[in-house]
Amino acid sequence: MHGSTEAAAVDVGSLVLCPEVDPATPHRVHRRLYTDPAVFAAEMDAIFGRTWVYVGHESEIPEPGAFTSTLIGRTPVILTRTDAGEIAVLLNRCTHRAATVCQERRGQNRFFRCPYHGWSFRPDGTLVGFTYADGYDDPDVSADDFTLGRPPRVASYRGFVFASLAADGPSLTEHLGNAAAYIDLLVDLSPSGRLVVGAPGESRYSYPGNWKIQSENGVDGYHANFVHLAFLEGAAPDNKALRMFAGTSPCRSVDLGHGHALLDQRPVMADPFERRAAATPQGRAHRAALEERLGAERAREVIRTSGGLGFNLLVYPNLLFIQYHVRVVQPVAVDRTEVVLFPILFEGDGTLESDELALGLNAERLRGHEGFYGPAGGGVPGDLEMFRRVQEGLAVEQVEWLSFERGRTRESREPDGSRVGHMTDEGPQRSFYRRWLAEMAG
Amino acid sequence: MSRSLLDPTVVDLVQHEAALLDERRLEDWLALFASDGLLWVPGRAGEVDPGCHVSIIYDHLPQLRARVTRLLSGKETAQDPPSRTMRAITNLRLVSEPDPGGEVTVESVQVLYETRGVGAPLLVLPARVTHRLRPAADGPRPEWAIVSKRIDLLEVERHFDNLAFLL
Ligand code: FES
Ligand SMILES: [Fe+2]
Repeated sequence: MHGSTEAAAVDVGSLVLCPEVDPATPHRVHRRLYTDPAVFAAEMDAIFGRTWVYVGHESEIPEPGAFTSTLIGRTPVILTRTDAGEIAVLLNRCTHRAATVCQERRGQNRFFRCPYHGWSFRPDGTLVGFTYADGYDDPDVSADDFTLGRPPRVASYRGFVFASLAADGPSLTEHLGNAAAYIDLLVDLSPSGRLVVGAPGESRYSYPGNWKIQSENGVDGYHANFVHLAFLEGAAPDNKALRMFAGTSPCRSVDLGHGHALLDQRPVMADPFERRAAATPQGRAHRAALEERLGAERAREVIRTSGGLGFNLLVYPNLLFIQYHVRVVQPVAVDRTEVVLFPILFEGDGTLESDELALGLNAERLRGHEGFYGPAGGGVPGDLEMFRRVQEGLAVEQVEWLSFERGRTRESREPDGSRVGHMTDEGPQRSFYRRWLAEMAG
Repeated sequence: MSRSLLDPTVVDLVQHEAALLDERRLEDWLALFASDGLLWVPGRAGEVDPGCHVSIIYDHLPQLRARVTRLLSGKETAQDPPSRTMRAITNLRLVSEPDPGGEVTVESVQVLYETRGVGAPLLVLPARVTHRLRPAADGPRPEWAIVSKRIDLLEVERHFDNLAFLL
């Protein structure tokens, strides 16, 4: 984590203009949010050092000793399962002289063995013992003092595991707030209720730009008909997709509160999803399995929502659920970001019928994912090109502000506190930056 | 299994394919594929099954055709300006004798260089490329049709920037 001295050097109040703070200002964000290394350092502390950050899915660690390695901000961590079967998140830093104890992305082992001087740690982080132990005959030094560190808080929601580097703060349920119901929808789509994330691998890409550009873009309904025009024209001869992102679209953007946001494509996509599920034996088997598990009404809602691109969900600050994948935005430097997309596949319940259904649906989901997402997909490269150009344009110091005002006066407030706007409006980004400002201002 | 002397028509096919890609003659390139043809770029090294592992590209001919249409539409933002590429092909060898239908598998090491003249510096992508070829009666290259082209990128686990061009 970065020192609070660096954070103090950034006067964030002057970098985000927000009419709710000062009614005289429009919604603007200063270019320094994307270019200033001091802002980046402060974010690693005030955001990634405090809030709930996604670290992996429970299906990635089915057995004791199974592990995946990831990052919370710039802090390397390991998600693993202890010999007692509990989920553990460990700081990936040897308690001797700091080497990382795990460098593989995922695997299975009995111990994390530090390669430097051979210290071995159990999956719960405890040190097995010193190598050449006679050198540690000082009675004040004990192996028990060298347990691997842990983030103070770990919690999971429907199999998705989050950790927080801060001891206190809102619970994960409080943090997820209105976003949780959408995670429910995508989990419930599994015929057996079980998901597989991680084992199918991941799509990875990178761009020379700030991490927030990707968080903004994942719930940006405004760009699709421009950046992805060639793909959308080719993909939908009936112009369904183009209609979804048009200025006249019936679809909505939703500021869910807490910085989370949604693009709700259901007004265009729900009927086609339901028709598709009725059109093939596989689709009908899927619906039947859901009806049996969830009842007819919920099964219908799930099919109509999550049959494909029913919604894009941003979970603040760096997690997105889009189409069939969960996407993690990984800040590397103020002007470099890496992104990992994990396809979310289904697991059968062990019966032949259920396993075959999962296999068939999974193949469809993989092909659907690859067609648009990933560095050679039909859509993502266009976004990457825009991210690169945004960062290039940010070099212009003379023009200081980025505008997020679209649709501000036409958004409506819902009873649950969310704000609803048009598909192409910038309510999701306003939501993100309101939360950003609150966290950065401490 | 490998032969030191490859059928020159096989060598010619692999080199001709690379030249069409480098010259961005994508319609002609598409015509090299059999009707059941596949372009596959696995997303991981080692054991891999496209049925349960995500790929970077897994395109049968219809998806490949859509890809080419999109790339040539002039509207693909990721290709404005378009990529310029050069492919160096080496270590070409036959890895399976002709099967009863005459199909052969040939492997090469290819180094792909790519630039768009903007943004990132030269991209260098070494790969092992495996062609499955079927004797073809007609087409622009009468000798062989591509049944599958598999590209195993050496740096498959890298976080790639924009890979919109045809690998
Ligand atoms: S640094 Fe890990 S054993 Fe020495
Ligand atoms: Fe996009």
